[in-house]
Amino acid sequence: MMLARVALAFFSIGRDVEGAESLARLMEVGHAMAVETGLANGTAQASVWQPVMALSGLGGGAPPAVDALGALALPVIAPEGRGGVQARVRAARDHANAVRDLLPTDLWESLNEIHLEIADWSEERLDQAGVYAFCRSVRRAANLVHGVADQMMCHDEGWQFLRLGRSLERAAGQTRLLDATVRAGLAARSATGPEAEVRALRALLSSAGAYYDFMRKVSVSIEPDAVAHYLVMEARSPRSIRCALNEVHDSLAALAAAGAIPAGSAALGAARAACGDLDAAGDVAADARLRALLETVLARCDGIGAAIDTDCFARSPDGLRGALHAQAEHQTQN
Amino acid sequence: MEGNALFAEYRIDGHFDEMFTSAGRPRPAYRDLYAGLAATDAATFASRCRMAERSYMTQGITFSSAGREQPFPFDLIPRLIPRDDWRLLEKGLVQRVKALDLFLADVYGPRRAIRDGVVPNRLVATCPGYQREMVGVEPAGGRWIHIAGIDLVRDRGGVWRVLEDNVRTPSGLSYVLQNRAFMKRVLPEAFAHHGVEPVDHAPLLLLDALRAAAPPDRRDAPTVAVLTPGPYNAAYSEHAFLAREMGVPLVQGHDLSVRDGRVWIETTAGRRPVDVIYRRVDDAFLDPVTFRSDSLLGVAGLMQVYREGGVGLANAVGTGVADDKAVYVYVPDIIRYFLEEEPIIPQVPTYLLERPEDLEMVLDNLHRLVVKAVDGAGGYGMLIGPHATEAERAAFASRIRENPRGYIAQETVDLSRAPVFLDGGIRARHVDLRPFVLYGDTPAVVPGGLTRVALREGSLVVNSSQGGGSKDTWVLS
Repeated sequence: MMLARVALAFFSIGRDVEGAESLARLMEVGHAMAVETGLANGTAQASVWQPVMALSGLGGGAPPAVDALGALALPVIAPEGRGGVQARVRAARDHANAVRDLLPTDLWESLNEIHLEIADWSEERLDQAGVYAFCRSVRRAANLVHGVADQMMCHDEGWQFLRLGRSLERAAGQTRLLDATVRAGLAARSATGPEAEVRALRALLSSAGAYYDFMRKVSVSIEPDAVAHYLVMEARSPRSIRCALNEVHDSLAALAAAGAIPAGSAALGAARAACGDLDAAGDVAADARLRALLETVLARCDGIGAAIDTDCFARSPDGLRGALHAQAEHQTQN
Repeated sequence: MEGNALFAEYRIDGHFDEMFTSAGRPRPAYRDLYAGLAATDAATFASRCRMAERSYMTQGITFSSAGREQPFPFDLIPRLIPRDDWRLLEKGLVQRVKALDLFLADVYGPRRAIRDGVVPNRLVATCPGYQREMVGVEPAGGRWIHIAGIDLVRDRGGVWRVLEDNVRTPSGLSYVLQNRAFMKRVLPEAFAHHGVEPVDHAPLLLLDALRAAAPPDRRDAPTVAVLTPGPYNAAYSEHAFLAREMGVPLVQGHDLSVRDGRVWIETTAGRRPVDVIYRRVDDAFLDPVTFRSDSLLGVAGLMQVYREGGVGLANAVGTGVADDKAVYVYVPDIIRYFLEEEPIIPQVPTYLLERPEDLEMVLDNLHRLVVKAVDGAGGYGMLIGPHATEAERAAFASRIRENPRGYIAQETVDLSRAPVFLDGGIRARHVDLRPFVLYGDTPAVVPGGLTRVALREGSLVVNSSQGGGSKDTWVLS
């Protein structure tokens, strides 16, 4: 049993760290493509920057008209962007701060240190050190947090909520990424030729963090159907939608078994249904049916999120937060 | 000072110095530490200081000031207290807290001390911390003060004096532990040749004191929780630290509810009862039904359960009477009345401004006195006459005339000074000491306490919110 507020904090830590890491990886790949092919190149824009902007909540259209590569990345990094990397790391740290009494010291300190490190990136530092250095910091930091959480936290409800947040974010994020890129890639396939397609697919796999695994386990050549199938269905790859949904399901099942969520939870039902959707899909190819499947999976993820929110989490009403903070600040600690 | 580059800029300047009797002559307790420092070069010491500072930030050991999280500056040179000095202080602290606890029971109970003229009724009734809702209430276990932070200073003659009592929500205990942990990590060699009384059992002493506040039928295995105003409070990191060290939940007001004469924690799987709440929320915000109706930090109905003995609160509601700075004047008499003992630790000469003769004298001498709001905290609402401008003194005089009961004045104590590493060298800065008394069935004093340092040259204000820092405090064994 745990506090509803605490459950939300653990869930949010997992979700925001994963979100920051995904964005950083996307940005890194997009930046690398843009360096090579130029900002005006249609493949870089359509295959990477559009998903980056869409996933960060900063808009799904074309990247801003800028002439510097670093400046291109700024909207994603900047703390002002609600969905930006710095904002998500800060959110994760704030959630950790709210439950720091329950976190292993190593996990709290890792998150706090990461927040301090990532918040220190300014436009000037980005110019000097480059986008790659920033993205590497974020990726390393996120992997450290996930690793410390898995190795140092008791695998009780708190950890299950953290795992749930991470897995749900990953399932939804990978689905959106695949949806946006495959849609763009499919449209551009005939126009840009096979080499551009390979570059786009490689970028997609790299953005999803699955390129090397794919090459080792699946194919020596990259082709759309195999990539789509791998990213959706490969249960052994932690970067696949299937694996993420399995994790979501297992977390929810463990929480239900522990009595932390209702046995008949709608979230658990939605997770089962999402896994069932994938089972029913069989072989996946990069065609119109894939898009329909991805839309279904996204809807399931949204449903799981909404149900868990209703079942488990407590939030202060938005309108009262300012007053609550003001009162908290003025409590005497003599 | 000769022979030690780190101390090249060190000046005693006629103040009482914690480390030295005179230039270059350390007190006996400090001899080994001084010798160790003499063997350390400034660059090494500076690097250790930076390590400590980084650790504070990384670990999120901060306080909030003006909405920003800041590390609490930590100085690596410990303050040393010889064992015999400490034993006497310990007795004096226990004596003081026991007397204040009895006083509170009396104020909200039979009022014998008031009837017998020890403390004026008018003074008690006008205390901002007095809570009428507590009249006739006997907290579970009969204890009012479970944790007290008593501020001590040493004057120019080296005499220890009580400067203030803090018995509402005293803060700083976590820094005592964290400072010690940092010292052991960052400057372990400083411990060589010293036997130092450990402090890491303090959270367990606190937990024992809190358990003593449980309703009698649940004393065996009470559930304790720490009630915090949340991350926006200046002392949030302390709340989280103590909850964690004690292994108890850290809760906010909206995590709790009242039902069937008990307080419950709302969990993902239903309600769980709470027996004792270590609350770091002001009285006025504890229960919107009884106190401020706009409180978002408290628990509706909590006071009803508390009055009926269904839950323990630490410290008890209404303890502000005992740390009112006007009541402070009467504490020596309170000790004599309740314990029939002479006070062991003297106080700072203090004037009550509602006494006409004191008022006139104080207004004529603001340039040499310290004036404090009776319910002030954190170093705010005070005037340090010798350091104030004419305009600041005039403004304070006007406030005092409007509300004499709201202020007291004290002789300015020339706080003792201790060595602090600043700007590449060791310099003397004023310090105070806040020891903590934890009072369950019997009182216990955490060895040493929190030495606070006024980092600005010449400043007497040691509060963290106003540029103060802290030191580890060693009671030598």
